[in-house]
Amino acid sequence: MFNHILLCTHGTPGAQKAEALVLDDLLHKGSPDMKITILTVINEDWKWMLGDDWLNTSKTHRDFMNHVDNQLSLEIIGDWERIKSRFPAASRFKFLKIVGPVEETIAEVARKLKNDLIVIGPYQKKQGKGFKARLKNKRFHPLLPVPLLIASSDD
Amino acid sequence: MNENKKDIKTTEDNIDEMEERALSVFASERNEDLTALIFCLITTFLVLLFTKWLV
Amino acid sequence: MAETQKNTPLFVMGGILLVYGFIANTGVLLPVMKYLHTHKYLDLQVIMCLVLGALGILGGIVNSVRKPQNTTLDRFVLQPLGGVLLLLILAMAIRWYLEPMVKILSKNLQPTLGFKIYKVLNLNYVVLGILVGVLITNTIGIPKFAAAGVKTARFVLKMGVIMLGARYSFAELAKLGVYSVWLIGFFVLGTVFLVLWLGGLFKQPKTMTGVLSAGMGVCGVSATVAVAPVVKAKSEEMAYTIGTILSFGIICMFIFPTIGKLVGMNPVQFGAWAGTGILNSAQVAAAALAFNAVDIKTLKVAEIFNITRVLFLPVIVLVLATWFGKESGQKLSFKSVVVDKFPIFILGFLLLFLFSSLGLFSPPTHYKGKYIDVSYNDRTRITDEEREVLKSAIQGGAISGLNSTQAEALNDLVKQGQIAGNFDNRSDKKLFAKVGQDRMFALESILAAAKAKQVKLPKDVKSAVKHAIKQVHKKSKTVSTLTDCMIWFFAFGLIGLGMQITKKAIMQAGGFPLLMGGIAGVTKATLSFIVVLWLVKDVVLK
Repeated sequence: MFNHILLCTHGTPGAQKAEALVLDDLLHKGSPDMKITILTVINEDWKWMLGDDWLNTSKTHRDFMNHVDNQLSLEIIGDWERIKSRFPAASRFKFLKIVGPVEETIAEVARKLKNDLIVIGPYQKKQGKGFKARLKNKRFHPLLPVPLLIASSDD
Repeated sequence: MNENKKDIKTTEDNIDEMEERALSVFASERNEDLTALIFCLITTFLVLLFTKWLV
Repeated sequence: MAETQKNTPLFVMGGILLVYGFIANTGVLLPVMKYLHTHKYLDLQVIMCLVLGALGILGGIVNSVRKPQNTTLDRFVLQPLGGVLLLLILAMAIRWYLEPMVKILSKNLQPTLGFKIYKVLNLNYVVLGILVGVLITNTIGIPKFAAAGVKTARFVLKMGVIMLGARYSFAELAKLGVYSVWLIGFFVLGTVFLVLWLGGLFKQPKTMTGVLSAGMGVCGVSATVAVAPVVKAKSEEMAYTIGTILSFGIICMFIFPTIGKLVGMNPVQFGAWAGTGILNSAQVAAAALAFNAVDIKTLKVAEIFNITRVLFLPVIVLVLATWFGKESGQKLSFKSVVVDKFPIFILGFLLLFLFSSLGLFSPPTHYKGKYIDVSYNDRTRITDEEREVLKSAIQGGAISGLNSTQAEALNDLVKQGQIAGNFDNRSDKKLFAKVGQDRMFALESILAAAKAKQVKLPKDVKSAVKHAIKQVHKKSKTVSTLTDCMIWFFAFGLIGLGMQITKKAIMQAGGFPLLMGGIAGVTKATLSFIVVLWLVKDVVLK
């Protein structure tokens, strides 16, 4: 059916539903040589989080951005560990983290990796922890190179 | 993760780019405050020149 | 291709500026300018537009014939030029067109609404500048060609603060310094401990309370940025804290000046309150200029508070590092906290203060005494409130016993809002200055007559006239020109900083930081309001 799935996650409850859908359901139903890539996009809007600070020197700014970078990497690696421990099969797949605008990045990665399906989590009324930003369908759908599958909201 | 394909920007490249954008034009300077100070001294000098010393 | 993209806007902006400059020079726009009450700045408009337009075209030509390289010239001049021009065009358009139009519009809307919008929201050029900046980023976004130039805003604002140093005397600095050290010291430490205590109460992680207490206590986003790496804050904690502080700051920028005017605070009180209660330091400057954009009294006070806060920042970082370090076992050297974070621009501020104290900017001897500035200038204006007072006093017949020269001078003060010559005579410098000075002498004679009880003058009229006379008494042309530069630096910097405030960042406000930050922020603003009204007296400022 599908040979190479792009699973987009950032560890929120909605995204975890996508993880379960791909790594539990689709993986077992699909062919044995099916490939999965797990993608975490770091929202590029982090660059705006310096706000209107003007007092600090550029060294302090650099320190801050480095800290954000390290901290996000740590948190993402922690998230990937959680995925690997919950779905041991995930360990053999590739994990990717990329900085960029969420919609464009997902589409670009899917095109470059020649995925044939993108899977994301369902829209959640209450946002999970982390950087508050939602995927905008209006922006995302015109960019889609391959079909998009959204996990169901039911547990 | 290290076997990322070449054509996909690696995280490091990307972060560099992000930092580049986030910081001021003076990112490469040791200290932008010093530059600001020098600019101010130049402005002050010009103002003094035209409003006091040349008048 | 990238170069052509960068160049077209430069040519377009430069062309527009040149064309506008030439049109303005012919005087065709005079009726419009008179309607907007900006005709007095005609000469300034022409000079600025022609010079900047020429610079833009020149930069465009250099960019198109020269291959972009990674030199200092490229990085500091050619790349930022587009953005710098854009910000300057915005600043000029706001000062000379948007602000007057908003004033006229809200005056016309007054009968329907029952109040003047620009007065309630303090929509002067500073606030409008920030708003325009915020609007641009959140709608069309910062244009690509302007990105590098917009980043110079932080830097230009620092230049503004350095230049402000030329305006203080020892006595002022000492008096304001005492106020600010006490108030800031008390409220910074108080807020930091309040947040730490609340954090314990709500059982929040130390990383969260650490970063939030710094942001709430010292100077908003700046403190958060400085402290986050030290306390190893989690990503969502940083995002929520910064979002909360940004949204709180925007609200404060509008509410503070309005409340300050409602309760009739004097410039020193307002500067002290804004400097203590507003979290983000850029918004402190904005609120101070929003409260009073005519003279820079409020700004002078608020900036001293700002600088005191900046000096407190390393202390707080050190305190939090120790408090946090006990558990993580990390060590921070004195150098990494105090030396690396020390804001060098404050030394620049002190340097200009030193120059000024040594008399470098005082007038040359041939001025003989005081220099009187009766030219058209924002700095020599009286406030709108004072103008209203004079207007109603003259119309209501509260002033009696004036001779014709005195009455004419007073009428002209209401008309022009400042002591100056007649606009039509502006090309004849001698006549212009003479008329202006005669008016000043006439007003001085009114005050003398009032003292001798020959004329009856209501108290608020007297203070308005006094202010008008004081406004044209400048110590030296050098100081006033430096002040003009400084005001433009502030306007430029604040528009650029407005462009750094995105909806995306503000939307991060939430979770526990919003709750706790809300409590701490409101407590701090309220308590400092009470303390300032109670303790801070008016300091005589030049």
